[in-house]
Amino acid sequence: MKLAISRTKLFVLSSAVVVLAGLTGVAFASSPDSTAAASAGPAGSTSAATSSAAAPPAPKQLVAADIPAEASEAPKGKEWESARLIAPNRGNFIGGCKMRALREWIRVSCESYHGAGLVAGDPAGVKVWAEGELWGFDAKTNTSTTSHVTVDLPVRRGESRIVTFVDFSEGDGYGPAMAGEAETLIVTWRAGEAEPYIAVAPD
Amino acid sequence: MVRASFVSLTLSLAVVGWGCQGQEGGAPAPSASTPGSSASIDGGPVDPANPTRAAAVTLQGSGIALTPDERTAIIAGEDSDALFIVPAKTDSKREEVKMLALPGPPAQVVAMDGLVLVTIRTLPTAEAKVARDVIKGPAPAEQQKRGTPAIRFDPSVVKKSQGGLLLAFAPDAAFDGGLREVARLTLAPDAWGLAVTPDGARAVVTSAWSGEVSVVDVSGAREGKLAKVTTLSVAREPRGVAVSPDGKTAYISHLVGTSLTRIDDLDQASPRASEQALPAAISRTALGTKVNASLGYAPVIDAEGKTLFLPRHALGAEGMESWWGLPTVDTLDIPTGKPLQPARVAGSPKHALAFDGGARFMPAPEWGAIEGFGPSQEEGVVQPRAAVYRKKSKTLLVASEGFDRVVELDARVPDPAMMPVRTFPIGDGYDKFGDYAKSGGAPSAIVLSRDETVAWVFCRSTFDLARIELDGAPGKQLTMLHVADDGLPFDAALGRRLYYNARSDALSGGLGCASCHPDGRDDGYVWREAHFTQEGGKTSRFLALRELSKFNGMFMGAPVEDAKFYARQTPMIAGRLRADGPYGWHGENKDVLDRLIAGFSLHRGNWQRWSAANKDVGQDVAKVDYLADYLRSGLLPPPVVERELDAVETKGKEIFESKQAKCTSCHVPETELTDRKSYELGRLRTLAGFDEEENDAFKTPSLRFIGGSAPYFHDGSAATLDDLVRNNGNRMGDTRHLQPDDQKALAAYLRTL
Repeated sequence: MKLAISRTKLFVLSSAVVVLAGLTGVAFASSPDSTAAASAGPAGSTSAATSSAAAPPAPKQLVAADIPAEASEAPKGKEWESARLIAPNRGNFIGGCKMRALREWIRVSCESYHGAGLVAGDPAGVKVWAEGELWGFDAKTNTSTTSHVTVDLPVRRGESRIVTFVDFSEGDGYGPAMAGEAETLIVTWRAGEAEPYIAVAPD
Repeated sequence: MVRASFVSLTLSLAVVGWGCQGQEGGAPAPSASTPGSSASIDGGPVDPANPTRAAAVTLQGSGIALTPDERTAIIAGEDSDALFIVPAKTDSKREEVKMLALPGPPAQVVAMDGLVLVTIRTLPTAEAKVARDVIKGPAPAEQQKRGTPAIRFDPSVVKKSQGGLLLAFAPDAAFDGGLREVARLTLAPDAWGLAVTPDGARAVVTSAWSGEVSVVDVSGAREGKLAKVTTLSVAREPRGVAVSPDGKTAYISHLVGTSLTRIDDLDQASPRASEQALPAAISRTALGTKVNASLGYAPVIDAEGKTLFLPRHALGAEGMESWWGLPTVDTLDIPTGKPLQPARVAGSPKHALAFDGGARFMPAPEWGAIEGFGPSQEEGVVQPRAAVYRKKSKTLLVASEGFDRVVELDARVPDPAMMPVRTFPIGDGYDKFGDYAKSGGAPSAIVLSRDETVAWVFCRSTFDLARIELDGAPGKQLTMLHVADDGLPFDAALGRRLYYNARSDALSGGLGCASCHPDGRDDGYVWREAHFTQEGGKTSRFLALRELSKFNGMFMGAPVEDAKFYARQTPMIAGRLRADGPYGWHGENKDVLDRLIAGFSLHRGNWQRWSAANKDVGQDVAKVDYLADYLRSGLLPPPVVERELDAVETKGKEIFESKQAKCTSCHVPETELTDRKSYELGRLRTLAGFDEEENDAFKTPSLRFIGGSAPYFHDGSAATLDDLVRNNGNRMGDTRHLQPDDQKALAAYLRTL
């Protein structure tokens, strides 16, 4: 969670609302696909990321050779565990996000963002969900907990999609609590181009 | 100010010739500037269309060009009526800058082997020339004094033009390798954009105010021949030109509106024009709506000829604090003629942690953060003014006029404005109060070296040339050369810097005057003058769209109450500020200064109130005073050819001046075609998305230059002058008796004013 966000990019919350949130604690969002949320949500992604004790090789970019010519169904459940980490062609996530690919499907899982939405492009097959707490705190372990946001979307020839992530901050000092734009994910595969292109625009 | 030395340079016509400077060791450089000489200077490429010549660095016009040997930069000094000719090296000195006087203000340059083409916006009449020189004020020493009053010009004189020009220059050994005019072609006034086909045979020239595009045969230019192939009427304010790699098609951008003009059969006897749709910022446009666009100065085509990029401003695109909209780079897939940006789609998934039940905060459809705004303004482009495509990195370099920087954008994404890769700040020495740059202000022209490692940028408000080493070490990439001093009196020169600047929180706050009033004209847009309450506080400000009230600053997302949205079309200001006053839609401001202060209150949201509590308020007002000086003496009116009225226009003039029509009772010819009084006319039908006017007494607008500022009325409800006259009845004067031919005649006369 970033604490310093440009004033020009913020929502502002009243203090009363912030206090209320702190008291009420958990506010889970429902998954768009209960099966996916239960078995292939952020938890599944995390396991894939930590499966190797050795330093993992640097993620490679998604290339056309990874993608079947025919469209496939979106991966479900544990299928995502076999997905490989990929890197964007340009830009980087700073919100603890990991991007994985399986066939023509990519999953972006962010550990410290609190929302996301498909800004533009065909919504078919796109899923977005958020889980966790805004300012979670586990009294048993005396540790902070974080929220997660996950986005699944296809990478297909001739199509482009734009996804914006949302972060949330308590603000600086006594500043108000805020929600605002985080990175923007741009996934495009222009007709006639050999390769897809994935960019992460800065906050 | 070194105007005296300028004059002497001008008289000498001395210029630096490319290919004629000594190389290291004193050996003369091989000449490539003489027509017909062998090419491949310094190992540079040969023009594939003519193997005896060196290839041009670029055939697309800009306010700056590099000669084929890349040793000389040629700058269109529009505000100096001259070309600045500068050695293109890292350590160029001011003393090495040469100036070539021109017959009028240049706009764009293309430098080829043995040929330089320049568009000239106007060849003023002798009377207009004298008037334009007078504006520059008294002796240079006097100009330097703070407080030097602006000289209000008479727009009816300054506008007088003999037409626009396309000038052809060739290197001339008699002037030490300098430039010699070899041909000129008179075109419609306000000749601006320029590009040459890859074979060097044809040039495409836009005439902005005239709404025309000319195709010119330049194959014989070196021998003194320029021949017009055709002239095509196009939509308002055609500006930049981009030619496809095959030389058969040209795309014309417009300063107003979203569509391009496409010129086909460019290599044939009869090129033809058609509209090429290119919707603005469709990835960031609210569902079911379309947004308008402005500032389409610089279309760019990639090296493969597959993509056209058009940096511009999307009026009404959604985003945080985007009361004005957002900058965008709209992309066109040339083979299909379709936009490349994905559109927003109803039902797109979005999700966030619920908070407070979602009732007060983050109601899903209204949640701006996932409604589609792009990268922050601080990192992005503000007032895109010029652009080039960088093939080696597949990026665009865009001159961001408002924030004094060049921004490198990823050209592989559908809207490169969303994906800034690097920012090169050029402005420096910012004024404490006005926040305008004292050097590197308002970058307005850019050219890229052939190897794409160096960008040269001309800064219009400070007259500086920036050299950016694109692959250099951070912090060591920029070198600056002050090319010339401002030719305006001191105060007006400061006002010029304010006019382009978008950084001042008090005066611009993210969008400079030049954005809505490019060249002092208008953006053709009907804004919302909004008055509403949020979080208990009353706010008044302009909004591009009613819906953008939810993006209002620190109150983003808060409910909007007691809202009124009045329609206000951007007025043209160049040549309309000579009178003492009153000003304002209802004549509510006694003079220009009063109007500007009131206007900034609307632009910036209660500006006066904030500044009144600020000890710097006096400084802010002083800045506004500088701005007023520039508006009155620096923003020159559009050029208009002096000619006799034709029979139809003469008939229209008779109607206009007739007692029955009564036009001149309010539009008084002797006082800029207005009596500056307010009248309650019949109420226009309130348009959807706006609120009913509370004050129907609108000040009589000047009709000067009305032919080029459609649409009409405060709400833009009349698309054309013909529509306005046809539907007038007796609302203004009385035109009920006019037959259709009479109506057309009256409209035709109005277009001449």
